[in-house]
Amino acid sequence: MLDLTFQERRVILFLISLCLAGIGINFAVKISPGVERIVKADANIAKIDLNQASYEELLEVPGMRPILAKKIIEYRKSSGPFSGFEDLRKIKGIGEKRLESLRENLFIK
Amino acid sequence: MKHSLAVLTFIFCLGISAAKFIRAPFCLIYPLALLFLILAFLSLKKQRGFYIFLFCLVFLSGALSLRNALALPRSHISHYASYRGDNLSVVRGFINSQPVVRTKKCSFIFKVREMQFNNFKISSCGTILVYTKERKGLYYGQGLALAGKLYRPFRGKVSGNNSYREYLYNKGIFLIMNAKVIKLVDTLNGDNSLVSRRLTFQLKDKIEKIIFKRLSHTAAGILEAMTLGEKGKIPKLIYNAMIKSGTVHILVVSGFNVGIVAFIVVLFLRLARLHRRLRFYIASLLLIAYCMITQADTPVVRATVMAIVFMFAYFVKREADIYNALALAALFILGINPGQLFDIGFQLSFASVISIAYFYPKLKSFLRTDALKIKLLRFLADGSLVSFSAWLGTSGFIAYYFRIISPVTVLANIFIVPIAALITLCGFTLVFIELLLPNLAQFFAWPCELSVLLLLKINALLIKIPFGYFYFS
Repeated sequence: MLDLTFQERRVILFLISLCLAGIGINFAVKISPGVERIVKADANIAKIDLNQASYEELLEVPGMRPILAKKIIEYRKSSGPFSGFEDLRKIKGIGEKRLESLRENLFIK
Repeated sequence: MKHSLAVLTFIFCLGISAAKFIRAPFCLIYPLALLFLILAFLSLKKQRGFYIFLFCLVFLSGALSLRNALALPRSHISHYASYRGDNLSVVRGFINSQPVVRTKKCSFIFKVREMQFNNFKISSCGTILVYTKERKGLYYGQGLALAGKLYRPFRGKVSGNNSYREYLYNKGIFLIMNAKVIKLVDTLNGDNSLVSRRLTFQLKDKIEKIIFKRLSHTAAGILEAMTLGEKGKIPKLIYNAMIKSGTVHILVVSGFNVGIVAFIVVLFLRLARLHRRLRFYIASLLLIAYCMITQADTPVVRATVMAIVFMFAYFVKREADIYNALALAALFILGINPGQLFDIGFQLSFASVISIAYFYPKLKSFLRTDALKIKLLRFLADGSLVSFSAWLGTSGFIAYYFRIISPVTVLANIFIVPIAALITLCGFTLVFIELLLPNLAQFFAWPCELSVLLLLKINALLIKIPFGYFYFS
């Protein structure tokens, strides 16, 4: 017939499997938009929720010092959840530069 | 078998065709395809069993790809438009093509992001074709809010058995809008235009201006069609005359033009004595840029993919198989839009190349044209065989779609194709000279004008030959 080697057969089947999976997901997303949330990585997947994060979790954020993390927790307790990143500017020790670096690793729902 | 990819692509195309006529639901085909996939994996080491399952799997993949392409998302704009288009709709999005300005009219493809009817705003998707009164200053990527009536394309036949609606559906356009009000707005997701695409459109504009500056309107219209693929400015009478002689294929950018561009590029790069690898990269990039300038029509994409495959084969010192290269080009086009299989351009483009690749060597060895000692005679004989081979492959499609049979095509192509090659070469030279030495450009414009005139005269002569063409109902 086609004289495909064993390796070629495997490669072809692998490519078709990927193609079928892609078509299936694409079709599912089209008929039900909810599927997109399941199959597509959330933009905030690699970030920490500023309003939900514990002290230990905040410490994992690059550039976050323990004193700053403590201040954030205190702010949340006293003034309620953050409504935007601009609220972080109210905390002493967070300037424009640090805010930018924190923004890359944090998100606010 | 040497043409494995070609065989699999053929089965894939059969699957697409079957899905067009047998409207089996996606949810029925998909589990079947998964079943065949498992069976194919289980029979990996078997000979016959594996191929049977593989062919079934590829066939069903073709069917699935079309079913998937035809399934529209819930937010697609076509779900919100009525058939009669009585209500005024407002859509927001951006221009997704280069606007085409014709007498008192402007048209462009518009990508919808948001739709508004009554006081409701909903996020939407899909593309529509927009017609509006002549308006300058519109450009690709521009964010607009349009108000007008949305309606479905009419069913009227444009060519043979193909309706205008089907033609647009194959291109993914389901609605047309006659825009009464246009407002500039921000695009909803920032800048949507691709820089590379914007640059190619600007370059296309520049070339168009050069052509129309240096040549008469008719000659410029023909040259523009042959170099940039814009055939809107060709006089209708000339276009019909070319259909009669079966040489209308030279009035669109096709594989032939891409071949010429590839030839020029490779020639210059060789003269520059660049390294083989660098030559391959530069030539590939330039061909892709040319493909984008000409709006990436099916024949151009086919020829570009094939040219890159052949250059790559040369680069890695392997022999390229024309059928597999064609199959790769077909898969590339059908992977993006399986509906292209039913497009006349796709069918003619692939039929002609397959036919030439198959018939030409056979006819050549049968008639022993190599034995001819006079070079000119050999050239003419080979030219007629190529032309005849292409005619064998395409005449069925042309008869079906255009209701015309033109035996004169074989003769016409022998004379017209070399002149068309000359015009294209003159055209490209004219553009280069205008960019580098504008004062000398007019000298290069004259040969171009003269070749176009020669082409028209020969074509007019050929269609006067008795029984050269005939229409049938």
